[in-house]
Amino acid sequence: MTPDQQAEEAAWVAQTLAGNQSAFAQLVNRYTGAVFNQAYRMLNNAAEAEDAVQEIFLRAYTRLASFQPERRFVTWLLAIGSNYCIDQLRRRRQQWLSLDDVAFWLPSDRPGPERSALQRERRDLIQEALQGLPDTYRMAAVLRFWHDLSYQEIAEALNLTESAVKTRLHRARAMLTTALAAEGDTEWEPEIAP
Amino acid sequence: MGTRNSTVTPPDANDDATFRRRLQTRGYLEFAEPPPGLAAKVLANMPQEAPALAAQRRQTRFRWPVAAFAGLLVLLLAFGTWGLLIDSAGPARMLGDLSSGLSRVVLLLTLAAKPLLHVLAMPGLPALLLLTTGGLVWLWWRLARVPAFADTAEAAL
Repeated sequence: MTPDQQAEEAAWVAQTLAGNQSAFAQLVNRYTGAVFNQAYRMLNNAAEAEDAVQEIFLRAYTRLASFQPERRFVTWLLAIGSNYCIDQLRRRRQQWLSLDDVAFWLPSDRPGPERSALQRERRDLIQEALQGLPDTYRMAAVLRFWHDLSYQEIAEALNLTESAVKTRLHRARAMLTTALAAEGDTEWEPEIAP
Repeated sequence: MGTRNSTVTPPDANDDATFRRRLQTRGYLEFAEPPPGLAAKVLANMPQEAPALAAQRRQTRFRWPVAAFAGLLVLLLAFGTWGLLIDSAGPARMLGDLSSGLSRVVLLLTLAAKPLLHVLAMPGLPALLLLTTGGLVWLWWRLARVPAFADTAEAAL
């Protein structure tokens, strides 16, 4: 992200706080994809990820006054997303088997994105491998590898020290490597010892 | 919040970069595509007022059920106290002859609140509350917070 973009986003935040709703629309349009990707990678369910996007932007809007312009907006937004997803996963663990859970296991009738079979297969493979990680490792990995956040930004988003982030990413790399190899990606040889 | 403690060494960054490159090469780092029109849907459901007002309204929305529950509890206790100390049918009689709808409901509430007051006046209540609260906290800790505990322990490594 260029300094110009950061300044532009800070200006949109200021305009939104002053009552200009269309300025917030610019932020929503720019980051819907990123927030959806984070939620989908974490929750592993497109419908839940869609609800998550709605709730995360709503939380961002109502807490906009707490945004510090010297930070990147996307980092702040993904931090809100991280908290929401971790909360949802904790709630999911506390729930008894419900009809929603059964529906979750049934094949979705939503039309999938039009991609080649190979791309779909790879996407499923990495998604499966990601789901095998503990929630907090998965979150660190998603923020680092998909969203390219720095160690410091991940530490701020997840309320951790950088050394804890380092440990999680180290273990996440090892676990993902093993999982991808085990799921049939023969070209993926473990190179980092667990 | 997170703190910079200079523990991230160049080899860590290299491992990450190498790993990321491998993921990228294999096509694993593609973003999951949001459903078409999601941004428009999000915007359509956003509050129409300024952020500060929206935050205030949201807080009020969350507080309302708590306030209603607290109000109901206070009302129940008031009826119960009246029923215990003065007359069980007193509050209900003010609203009718005990056979009509509202007065009958109030009479039922008054009678229902009396055992509640008896429980509150029970000598072993503090111990019972302590045990119940302790049990619930332990259960909550085991079910919801154990991963967080593990994270904290890991962060201290």
